[in-house]
Amino acid sequence: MLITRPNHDITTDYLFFWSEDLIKQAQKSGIRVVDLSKKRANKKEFISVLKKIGMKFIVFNGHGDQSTITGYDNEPIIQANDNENLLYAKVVYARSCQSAKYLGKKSISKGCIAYLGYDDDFVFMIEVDKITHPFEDKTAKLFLDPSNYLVLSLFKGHTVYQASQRSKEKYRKTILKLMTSVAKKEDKDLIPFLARDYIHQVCLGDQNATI
Amino acid sequence: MKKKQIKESITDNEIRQLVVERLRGISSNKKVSIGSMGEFSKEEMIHNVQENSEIGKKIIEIQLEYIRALKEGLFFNEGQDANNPPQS
Repeated sequence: MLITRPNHDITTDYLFFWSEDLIKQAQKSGIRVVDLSKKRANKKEFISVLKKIGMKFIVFNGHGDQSTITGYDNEPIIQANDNENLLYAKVVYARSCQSAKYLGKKSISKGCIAYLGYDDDFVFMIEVDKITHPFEDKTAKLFLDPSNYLVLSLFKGHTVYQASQRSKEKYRKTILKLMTSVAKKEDKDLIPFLARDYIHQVCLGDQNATI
Repeated sequence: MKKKQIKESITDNEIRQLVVERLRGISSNKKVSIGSMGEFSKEEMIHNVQENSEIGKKIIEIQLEYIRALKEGLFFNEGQDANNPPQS
Protein backbone atom coordinates (compact mmCIF):
# COMPACT_ATOMS: atom_id res chain seq x y z
CA MET A 1 0.00 0.00 0.00
CA LEU A 2 1.23 3.45 -0.95
CA ILE A 3 -0.44 6.04 1.23
CA THR A 4 -0.20 9.82 1.21
CA ARG A 5 -0.76 11.62 4.51
CA PRO A 6 -0.29 15.37 4.38
CA ASN A 7 -0.99 17.23 7.62
CA HIS A 8 -0.87 20.92 6.80
CA ASP A 9 -4.28 21.92 8.16
CA ILE A 10 -6.94 20.63 10.55
CA THR A 11 -8.70 18.45 7.97
CA THR A 12 -5.56 16.78 6.67
CA ASP A 13 -4.24 16.43 10.22
CA TYR A 14 -7.31 14.40 11.12
CA LEU A 15 -6.86 12.18 8.07
CA PHE A 16 -3.16 11.88 8.97
CA PHE A 17 -3.92 10.53 12.44
CA TRP A 18 -6.90 8.40 11.45
CA SER A 19 -4.86 6.73 8.71
CA GLU A 20 -2.37 5.42 11.23
CA ASP A 21 -4.68 2.54 11.97
CA LEU A 22 -4.69 1.63 8.27
CA ILE A 23 -0.92 1.46 8.29
CA LYS A 24 -0.86 -0.72 11.41
CA GLN A 25 -3.48 -3.09 10.03
CA ALA A 26 -1.72 -3.30 6.67
CA GLN A 27 1.52 -4.27 8.38
CA LYS A 28 -0.32 -6.85 10.51
CA SER A 29 -1.73 -8.30 7.29
CA GLY A 30 1.75 -8.59 5.85
CA ILE A 31 1.15 -5.81 3.34
CA ARG A 32 4.18 -3.67 2.54
CA VAL A 33 3.52 -0.01 3.26
CA VAL A 34 5.16 3.08 1.83
CA ASP A 35 4.01 6.04 3.88
CA LEU A 36 4.38 9.45 2.22
CA SER A 37 3.53 11.47 5.28
CA LYS A 38 3.66 15.16 6.06
CA LYS A 39 5.87 17.04 3.58
CA ARG A 40 6.71 13.80 1.77
CA ALA A 41 3.13 13.79 0.43
CA ASN A 42 4.24 15.55 -2.75
CA LYS A 43 4.24 14.82 -6.46
CA LYS A 44 7.99 14.26 -6.80
CA GLU A 45 8.15 11.64 -4.03
CA PHE A 46 4.94 10.00 -5.22
CA ILE A 47 6.24 9.54 -8.76
CA SER A 48 9.60 8.39 -7.46
CA VAL A 49 8.01 5.66 -5.33
CA LEU A 50 5.78 4.50 -8.18
CA LYS A 51 8.76 4.18 -10.48
CA LYS A 52 10.95 2.33 -7.99
CA ILE A 53 8.33 0.12 -6.30
CA GLY A 54 5.35 -1.33 -8.13
CA MET A 55 2.59 -0.63 -5.61
CA LYS A 56 -0.84 -1.83 -6.76
CA PHE A 57 -2.93 -0.24 -3.99
CA ILE A 58 -2.84 3.50 -3.37
CA VAL A 59 -4.62 5.48 -0.64
CA PHE A 60 -4.71 9.23 -1.11
CA ASN A 61 -5.52 11.52 1.79
CA GLY A 62 -5.75 15.21 1.03
CA HIS A 63 -7.84 17.90 -0.53
CA GLY A 64 -8.98 17.81 -4.10
CA ASP A 65 -11.52 18.76 -6.67
CA GLN A 66 -13.16 17.06 -9.61
CA SER A 67 -9.89 16.86 -11.49
CA THR A 68 -7.23 16.83 -8.80
CA ILE A 69 -5.82 15.04 -5.82
CA THR A 70 -3.47 17.14 -3.74
CA GLY A 71 -0.81 16.54 -1.13
CA TYR A 72 1.07 18.69 1.36
CA ASP A 73 0.16 22.38 1.13
CA ASN A 74 -2.38 21.44 -1.53
CA GLU A 75 0.26 20.72 -4.15
CA PRO A 76 -1.39 18.71 -6.94
CA ILE A 77 -0.18 15.12 -7.09
CA ILE A 78 -2.56 13.68 -9.71
CA GLN A 79 -4.38 15.85 -12.22
CA ALA A 80 -6.80 14.80 -14.91
CA ASN A 81 -5.52 15.25 -18.46
CA ASP A 82 -2.01 15.50 -17.06
CA ASN A 83 -0.80 12.42 -15.24
CA GLU A 84 -3.78 10.22 -14.44
CA ASN A 85 -1.97 7.55 -16.43
CA LEU A 86 0.18 7.07 -13.31
CA LEU A 87 -2.81 5.23 -11.87
CA TYR A 88 -2.64 2.58 -14.62
CA ALA A 89 -3.14 -0.92 -13.20
CA LYS A 90 -3.74 0.46 -9.71
CA VAL A 91 -6.55 0.17 -7.22
CA VAL A 92 -7.11 3.58 -5.69
CA TYR A 93 -8.97 4.90 -2.68
CA ALA A 94 -9.01 8.67 -2.66
CA ARG A 95 -10.21 10.58 0.39
CA SER A 96 -10.10 13.75 -1.69
CA CYS A 97 -13.20 15.80 -2.28
CA GLN A 98 -14.99 15.29 -5.57
CA SER A 99 -12.09 13.53 -7.29
CA ALA A 100 -14.21 10.54 -8.29
CA LYS A 101 -16.46 12.82 -10.33
CA TYR A 102 -14.02 13.41 -13.17
CA LEU A 103 -10.47 12.33 -12.29
CA GLY A 104 -11.71 8.93 -11.16
CA LYS A 105 -13.55 8.29 -14.43
CA LYS A 106 -10.63 9.57 -16.49
CA SER A 107 -8.26 7.32 -14.58
CA ILE A 108 -10.43 4.30 -15.32
CA SER A 109 -10.43 5.20 -19.00
CA LYS A 110 -6.64 5.28 -18.84
CA GLY A 111 -6.37 1.83 -17.29
CA CYS A 112 -6.79 2.32 -13.57
CA ILE A 113 -8.29 -0.95 -12.34
CA ALA A 114 -10.65 0.54 -9.76
CA TYR A 115 -11.14 3.96 -8.22
CA LEU A 116 -12.96 4.31 -4.94
CA GLY A 117 -13.67 7.78 -3.69
CA TYR A 118 -16.20 10.55 -3.43
CA ASP A 119 -17.94 12.39 -6.26
CA ASP A 120 -18.65 15.35 -4.01
CA ASP A 121 -17.11 16.87 -0.91
CA PHE A 122 -15.90 14.47 1.77
CA VAL A 123 -17.16 16.05 4.97
CA PHE A 124 -16.79 15.25 8.64
CA MET A 125 -17.47 16.82 11.97
CA ILE A 126 -14.90 17.41 14.70
CA GLU A 127 -14.89 18.37 18.36
CA VAL A 128 -13.04 21.65 18.80
CA ASP A 129 -11.41 20.60 22.08
CA LYS A 130 -9.99 17.47 20.44
CA ILE A 131 -8.19 19.21 17.57
CA THR A 132 -4.82 18.52 19.14
CA HIS A 133 -5.83 14.91 19.86
CA PRO A 134 -7.72 13.82 16.73
CA PHE A 135 -7.69 10.17 17.69
CA GLU A 136 -9.73 10.92 20.80
CA ASP A 137 -12.41 12.68 18.79
CA LYS A 138 -15.53 10.51 19.11
CA THR A 139 -17.49 12.68 16.69
CA ALA A 140 -14.89 12.43 13.95
CA LYS A 141 -14.77 8.69 14.60
CA LEU A 142 -18.36 8.37 13.41
CA PHE A 143 -17.23 9.63 9.99
CA LEU A 144 -13.73 8.23 9.71
CA ASP A 145 -14.41 4.70 10.96
CA PRO A 146 -16.75 3.86 8.04
CA SER A 147 -14.26 5.46 5.66
CA ASN A 148 -11.37 3.44 7.10
CA TYR A 149 -13.51 0.32 7.02
CA LEU A 150 -13.39 0.37 3.23
CA VAL A 151 -9.61 -0.10 3.32
CA LEU A 152 -9.74 -2.67 6.11
CA SER A 153 -12.20 -4.69 4.02
CA LEU A 154 -9.78 -4.66 1.12
CA PHE A 155 -7.05 -5.97 3.45
CA LYS A 156 -9.34 -8.90 4.24
CA GLY A 157 -9.48 -9.80 0.56
CA HIS A 158 -12.88 -8.40 -0.31
CA THR A 159 -13.45 -7.00 -3.77
CA VAL A 160 -13.62 -3.23 -4.23
CA TYR A 161 -17.39 -3.52 -4.63
CA GLN A 162 -17.76 -5.52 -1.42
CA ALA A 163 -15.47 -3.14 0.46
CA SER A 164 -17.43 -0.13 -0.75
CA GLN A 165 -20.74 -1.74 0.18
CA ARG A 166 -19.45 -2.67 3.63
CA SER A 167 -18.22 0.87 4.18
CA LYS A 168 -21.56 2.31 3.05
CA GLU A 169 -23.39 -0.11 5.31
CA LYS A 170 -21.35 1.20 8.26
CA TYR A 171 -22.39 4.74 7.38
CA ARG A 172 -26.02 3.67 7.01
CA LYS A 173 -26.09 1.85 10.34
CA THR A 174 -24.48 4.81 12.08
CA ILE A 175 -27.11 7.10 10.58
CA LEU A 176 -29.95 4.82 11.68
CA LYS A 177 -28.51 4.56 15.20
CA LEU A 178 -28.31 8.34 15.48
CA MET A 179 -31.94 8.62 14.36
CA THR A 180 -33.18 6.66 17.36
CA SER A 181 -34.40 8.28 20.57
CA VAL A 182 -31.39 6.81 22.38
CA ALA A 183 -28.98 9.09 20.52
CA LYS A 184 -28.19 12.52 21.97
CA LYS A 185 -29.84 15.50 20.27
CA GLU A 186 -26.45 17.01 19.43
CA ASP A 187 -25.44 13.82 17.64
CA LYS A 188 -28.58 13.85 15.52
CA ASP A 189 -27.39 17.12 13.98
CA LEU A 190 -24.46 15.44 12.33
CA ILE A 191 -26.65 13.02 10.38
CA PRO A 192 -26.94 15.18 7.22
CA PHE A 193 -23.15 15.37 7.02
CA LEU A 194 -22.77 11.62 7.49
CA ALA A 195 -25.41 11.17 4.82
CA ARG A 196 -23.30 13.25 2.46
CA ASP A 197 -20.40 10.81 2.64
CA TYR A 198 -22.74 7.81 2.47
CA ILE A 199 -24.47 9.06 -0.66
CA HIS A 200 -21.38 10.26 -2.50
CA GLN A 201 -18.97 7.40 -1.93
CA VAL A 202 -18.58 5.61 -5.27
CA CYS A 203 -16.76 2.61 -6.68
CA LEU A 204 -15.61 2.93 -10.29
CA GLY A 205 -13.97 0.43 -12.61
CA ASP A 206 -13.64 -3.33 -12.16
CA GLN A 207 -16.05 -4.13 -9.34
CA ASN A 208 -14.44 -7.51 -8.77
CA ALA A 209 -10.94 -6.15 -8.33
CA THR A 210 -8.99 -6.92 -5.19
CA ILE A 211 -5.70 -5.63 -3.87
CA MET B 1 -66.04 34.69 -3.83
CA LYS B 2 -62.35 35.11 -3.26
CA LYS B 3 -60.29 32.25 -4.52
CA LYS B 4 -57.80 31.02 -2.01
CA GLN B 5 -54.34 30.97 -3.54
CA ILE B 6 -52.38 28.01 -2.37
CA LYS B 7 -48.68 28.53 -2.02
CA GLU B 8 -47.19 25.59 -3.90
CA SER B 9 -43.52 26.22 -3.60
CA ILE B 10 -41.11 27.20 -0.90
CA THR B 11 -38.98 30.26 -1.48
CA ASP B 12 -35.20 30.35 -1.32
CA ASN B 13 -35.47 32.56 1.73
CA GLU B 14 -37.67 30.01 3.48
CA ILE B 15 -35.19 27.28 2.64
CA ARG B 16 -32.39 29.35 4.17
CA GLN B 17 -34.48 29.89 7.29
CA LEU B 18 -35.19 26.18 7.51
CA VAL B 19 -31.52 25.33 7.21
CA VAL B 20 -30.53 27.96 9.78
CA GLU B 21 -32.98 26.46 12.27
CA ARG B 22 -31.54 23.00 11.61
CA LEU B 23 -28.01 24.31 12.16
CA ARG B 24 -28.88 26.02 15.45
CA GLY B 25 -29.05 22.63 17.16
CA ILE B 26 -25.40 21.86 16.49
CA SER B 27 -23.16 21.99 19.54
CA SER B 28 -20.92 25.05 19.76
CA ASN B 29 -18.06 22.68 20.54
CA LYS B 30 -18.19 21.21 17.04
CA LYS B 31 -17.00 22.23 13.59
CA VAL B 32 -17.70 20.76 10.19
CA SER B 33 -14.84 20.11 7.79
CA ILE B 34 -15.98 20.69 4.22
CA GLY B 35 -13.03 19.66 2.11
CA SER B 36 -10.67 22.43 1.07
CA MET B 37 -13.28 25.04 2.00
CA GLY B 38 -12.19 24.68 5.60
CA GLU B 39 -13.74 23.98 9.00
CA PHE B 40 -16.83 25.84 10.14
CA SER B 41 -18.54 26.34 13.48
CA LYS B 42 -22.29 26.51 13.89
CA GLU B 43 -22.18 30.31 13.94
CA GLU B 44 -20.00 30.45 10.83
CA MET B 45 -22.29 28.06 8.95
CA ILE B 46 -25.37 30.06 9.92
CA HIS B 47 -23.71 33.29 8.82
CA ASN B 48 -22.70 31.77 5.48
CA VAL B 49 -26.20 30.42 4.86
CA GLN B 50 -27.75 33.79 5.67
CA GLU B 51 -25.26 35.51 3.36
CA ASN B 52 -25.91 32.93 0.62
CA SER B 53 -22.17 32.49 0.11
CA GLU B 54 -20.64 29.54 -1.76
CA ILE B 55 -20.19 27.75 1.54
CA GLY B 56 -23.72 28.65 2.55
CA LYS B 57 -25.06 27.18 -0.70
CA LYS B 58 -23.02 24.02 -0.09
CA ILE B 59 -24.46 23.67 3.42
CA ILE B 60 -28.00 24.16 2.11
CA GLU B 61 -27.31 21.52 -0.54
CA ILE B 62 -26.15 19.07 2.12
CA GLN B 63 -29.23 19.63 4.28
CA LEU B 64 -31.69 19.41 1.37
CA GLU B 65 -30.03 16.30 0.02
CA TYR B 66 -30.46 14.67 3.42
CA ILE B 67 -34.14 15.63 3.61
CA ARG B 68 -34.72 14.23 0.11
CA ALA B 69 -32.89 11.01 0.99
CA LEU B 70 -35.00 10.68 4.13
CA LYS B 71 -38.19 11.15 2.14
CA GLU B 72 -37.07 8.50 -0.37
CA GLY B 73 -36.27 6.04 2.41
CA LEU B 74 -32.67 5.74 1.31
CA PHE B 75 -31.38 4.88 4.76
CA PHE B 76 -33.97 2.22 5.41
CA ASN B 77 -33.19 0.07 2.41
CA GLU B 78 -30.65 -2.70 2.79
CA GLY B 79 -29.69 -1.76 -0.73
CA GLN B 80 -27.94 -3.86 -3.26
CA ASP B 81 -26.48 -7.27 -2.68
CA ALA B 82 -23.45 -6.50 -0.55
CA ASN B 83 -21.39 -9.24 -2.15
CA ASN B 84 -22.19 -9.03 -5.83
CA PRO B 85 -22.22 -5.94 -8.00
CA PRO B 86 -25.28 -5.29 -10.13
CA GLN B 87 -25.15 -6.92 -13.54
CA SER B 88 -24.56 -4.38 -16.31
